[in-house]
Amino acid sequence: MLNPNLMTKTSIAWAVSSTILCLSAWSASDNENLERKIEGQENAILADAPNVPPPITRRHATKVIVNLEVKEVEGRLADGVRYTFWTFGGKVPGKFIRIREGDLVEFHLNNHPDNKMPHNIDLHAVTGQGGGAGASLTAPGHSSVFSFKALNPGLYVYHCATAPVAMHIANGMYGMILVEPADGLPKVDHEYYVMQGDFYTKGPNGQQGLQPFSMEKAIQERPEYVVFNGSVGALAGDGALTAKPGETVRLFVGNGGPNLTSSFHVIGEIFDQVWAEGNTSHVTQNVQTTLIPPGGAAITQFGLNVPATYILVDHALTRAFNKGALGMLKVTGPENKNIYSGKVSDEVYMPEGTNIRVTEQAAKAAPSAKTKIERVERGKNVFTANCMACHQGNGQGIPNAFPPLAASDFLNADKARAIKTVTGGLQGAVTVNGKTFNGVMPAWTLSDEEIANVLTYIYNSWGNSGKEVTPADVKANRAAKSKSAAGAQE
Amino acid sequence: MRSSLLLASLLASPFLLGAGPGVERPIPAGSYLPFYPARAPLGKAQPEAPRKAVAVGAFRLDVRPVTNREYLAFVKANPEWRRSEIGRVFADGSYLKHWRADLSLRSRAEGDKPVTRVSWFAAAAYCRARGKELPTTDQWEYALDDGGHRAERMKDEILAWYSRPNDKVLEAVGRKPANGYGIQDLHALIWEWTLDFNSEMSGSEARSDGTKDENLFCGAGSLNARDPSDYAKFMRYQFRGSLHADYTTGNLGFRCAREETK
Amino acid sequence: MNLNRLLTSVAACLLLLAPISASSLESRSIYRSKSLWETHAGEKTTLVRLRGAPVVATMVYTSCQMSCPLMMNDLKAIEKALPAAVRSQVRFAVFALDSANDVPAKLRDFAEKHGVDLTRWTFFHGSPASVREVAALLGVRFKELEGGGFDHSNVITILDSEGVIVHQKLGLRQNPDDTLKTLERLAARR
Repeated sequence: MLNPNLMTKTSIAWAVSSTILCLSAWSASDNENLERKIEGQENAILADAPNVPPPITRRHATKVIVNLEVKEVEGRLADGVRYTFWTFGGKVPGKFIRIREGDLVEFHLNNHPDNKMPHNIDLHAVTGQGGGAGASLTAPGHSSVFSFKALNPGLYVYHCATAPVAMHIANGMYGMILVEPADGLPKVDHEYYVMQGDFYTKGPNGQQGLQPFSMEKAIQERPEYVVFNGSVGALAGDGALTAKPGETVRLFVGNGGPNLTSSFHVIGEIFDQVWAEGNTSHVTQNVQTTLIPPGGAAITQFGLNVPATYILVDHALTRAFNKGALGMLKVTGPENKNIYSGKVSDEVYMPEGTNIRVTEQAAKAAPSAKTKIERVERGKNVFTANCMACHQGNGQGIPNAFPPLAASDFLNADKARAIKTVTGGLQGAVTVNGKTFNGVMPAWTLSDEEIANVLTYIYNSWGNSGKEVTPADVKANRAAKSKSAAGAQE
Repeated sequence: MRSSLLLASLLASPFLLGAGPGVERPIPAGSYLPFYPARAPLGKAQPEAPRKAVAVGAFRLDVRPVTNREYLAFVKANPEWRRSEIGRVFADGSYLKHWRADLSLRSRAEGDKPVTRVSWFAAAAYCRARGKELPTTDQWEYALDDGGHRAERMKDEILAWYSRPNDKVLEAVGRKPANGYGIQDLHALIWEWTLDFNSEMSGSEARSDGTKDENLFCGAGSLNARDPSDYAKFMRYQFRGSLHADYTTGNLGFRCAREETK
Repeated sequence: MNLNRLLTSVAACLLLLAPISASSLESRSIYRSKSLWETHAGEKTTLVRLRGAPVVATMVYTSCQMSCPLMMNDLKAIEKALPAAVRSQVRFAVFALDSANDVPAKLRDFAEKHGVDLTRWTFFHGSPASVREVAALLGVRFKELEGGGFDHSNVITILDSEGVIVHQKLGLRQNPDDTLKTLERLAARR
């Protein structure tokens, strides 16, 4: 093949020097991990979000056997909204995998026989054809095995890469693999796994029932939902992350996409450290909002100083407040007024718009009450979700702040005024049961049905007059207001 | 005399066919735009308009997928295709797993459902025993294409089917309306084997299709899909690409086709 | 009468047993295929003729310009790299994809052109159905092209002496080390 007649001294010199250059560049980056001796083997511990497997303590490279099962499951995307998720391990995001640089991974991708679709996997930690996708296209009821060496440390996304890729990813087929640097990561009190994704449903946001995937919306990049960890509210309420003041929290944050870049921010906190884009060697300090591209990740770390409910958001804010990109980190413990003196309590924290979201969905889920007793029952739920934070569980209010609703002369004297207080808000001094209050009651964007129910509940609790308020009453009351918005509210 | 008759019939028994051929309809000659464009081998001029329609000659296609009952008749007559007899080279361990035994279904209702958990070898053998063949991918896609009628609606229906998890209980064949050719159940019931399911050169991960990988594939020119936004079709090609001939899956069945006799 | 009956039932039993003896072939043996072939020498045969020795198998077509010559080179390189004791036991099976054109005479020319030892190499010509069946068994993708020729994947398959696939190599010009090791292991088994 080599024709000596065509070789000149110049080309020989060029060939030799570029070979030397290439070899030296190669040895600087991957050489160590290529040479690492593999000792023993172990089965990987996988974890479901928001948890992660424990930190690696071993000081040698080993063979790690990973068994990851693909499962197509129907589940909740939002209240009353169902979706068929395609998952790695049964949930969105997929299982968190944790290994160490230099490890040799034997990867088993198992496609459950009940599944309809073929699937494969591309792990961004893999150096090789398709990141593993080249070796793992698997039909339902079958399994593919391939192995790779983790040459680079970092926090990497993995996802299905079966065409059409955007559809597989849009259905939830993403997760993360952490390749720890050889010396590990510094110790923190809590490590959590958060992954953002955009969802494209045929019906608009909030439409109930099982929603099919919308190809058009996906191609146009117009998601109906943008969520953390696979569903609206996955990281809220009982699912909220927790910590205590004085503790450090590390968030492994990924973005499965398929399309949207995340502007990741935790309201009320500053990231003391960010390892941008999932790298583990270069830290940036004191970051408010960090960009996480689809198919990318970031490690954020911060110490907690004061109790609060810190809100995780995509700071492209309509995604947080209208599409679900909102999560919570609840920190409870002793206050530190030097750092934050304001009166903040868990329940009262309601960023503009979230209430609207929650109540609109409740409206769609519940059919109308037919009897007074039904009204009282339903009204209790509305009260708990919206009023209890200020007016307290037994309607006793908070002295000097929020008036009582229990045995309230203000309420019992004037039903129309009571309705107006809810629909239009109330400012200025009011006297209730002999005490003066000068606060601000916001207007509530609740349906006529909900307002009727909650007022009926209040009127029939804690020694109040026992009136009933109907949706028709509320509707008439709105119409009578000179400043009410035109058109019927839902 | 009687003994030689007995001998003769014993000799003939392996060759007895089961029930008569499945109901079929003629599909007229025509053309359709294939998902992957036509290619000429390396060294020859590539087709001027690679994304042109592929001609499909007239043929006959089964109206419905082959049912469990029909397949049962086949294995009764052909013992080497029974679940406990079949060579592992011809079907994997899940072959006919949903049947109660070699020669019995779990219930009468199963009889009308499309047979699934059959490999390509088994499906091809069934069709040949009926004097037919599996349809080619072109024939099958052309029949589904239905002259382009209802294209958007069908895409939606197919995507909706992908969006639902596998039904725990398969529907019986023939319940949904036929298409313009009088063929039923080409979509939204099961995946189906084709004669040349292994004819697309797309690699395990289709993202690198479009780069000539001459080491892996001889003559594989660029493999750009015709309409990468047709997720419904794209998925079918990927599904077929994930199969090996011995695979069986719970929602993969087949139907047969025949050349049009003059 | 009784003797006749006895003989008939014995004969019937033997006939019933006949398929069972074929199934003495391993359950995963590709030689269970009943596909019919013609060798380059014009012999009509089934795959079971390959039983009894480790086999290196592939699929090509003779008018192929690029990859098939390279495939033949790969196979010949494997043959050359084997230790003599192993080489004498290994057989090479080349199946033609082109049913229409790659008739036995063409295959003989092709074999001669490549200078292979026909005591070890066999070239097979078959109907489209036979070609499809072996391609399916070997996991070879192929498609006939407009104007002649074939798209096809390049796969080298190692079969043990019972016809079970023990190793496959995808692609041309791949490192043959594990292929060679497999063949040595198979030869030692016998």
